[in-house]
Amino acid sequence: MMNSYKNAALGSLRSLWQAVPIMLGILLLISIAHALLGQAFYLKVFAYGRLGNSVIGSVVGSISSGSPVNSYIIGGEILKQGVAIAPVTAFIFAWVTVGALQLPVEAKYLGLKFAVWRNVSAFFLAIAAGWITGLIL
Amino acid sequence: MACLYGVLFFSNPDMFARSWDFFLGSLKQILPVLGFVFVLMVVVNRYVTKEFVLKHLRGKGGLVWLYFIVGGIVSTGPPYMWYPLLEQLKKNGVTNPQMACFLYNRAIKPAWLPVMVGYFGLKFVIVTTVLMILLSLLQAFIIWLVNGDGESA
Repeated sequence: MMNSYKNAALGSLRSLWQAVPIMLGILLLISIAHALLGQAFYLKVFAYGRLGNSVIGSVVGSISSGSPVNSYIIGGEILKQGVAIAPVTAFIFAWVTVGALQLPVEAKYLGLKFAVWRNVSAFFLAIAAGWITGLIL
Repeated sequence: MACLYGVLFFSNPDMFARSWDFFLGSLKQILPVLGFVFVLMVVVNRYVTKEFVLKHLRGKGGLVWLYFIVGGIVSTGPPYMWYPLLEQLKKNGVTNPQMACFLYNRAIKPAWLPVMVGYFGLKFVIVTTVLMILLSLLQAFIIWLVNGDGESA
């Protein structure tokens, strides 16, 4: 039993060892962007109302890739700049559910029609998620 | 990144200072949470193996949908690692909507939820988690409409 916990702990440490440097890199990049661009930049980009901003968030999230925790970090820092919760939510949802870069691999194993429809519907569902979350919160 | 900050330090010390302060502030928010993340990861890795997930992703009925939702939530690793497995499951009768539901719920990462709570608060995490589960079922329905149960191409 201790062996399986030890293996689980080692596996978890390996995952964290891989994830943390990337997280730190993203934080450092965001910090430069914050100093360089300032809050006004983010507010200019997300200036189209709840639905429009959710579309922008979903577009940006769809072309992004990586561990979901990175989307939380980026989304959280954008939120601190005064951007509303709707586009941030759409961004996070799209990041984790739309796999534009993985589409060829997904199509190879699960079929092209399935892969395309799953990703397209996920894109629009991310917009809906942003809009709904903006309504509730 | 070190080079970039080095260049910034010498070319624009004021911007370097602002960037560095911002970075340290954000780091202070994340670091304490990593301990919780590690504990959650150990629990998930110990109890939720691929075999455990595969064992429950079979059959029909309402309970099987619950397994697809929970299976997606607790599955770990990059999505492309799961594609070969899902292809195998498809040959064993898993439908397109069920696969879509599983893949959508992979977006919820229990081990990293403490980081999400730290940034967005518990209310946001609860709302988005419930929303994600509901939208996974909606996506399954959409996939069923356009793709049917078993046609993949």
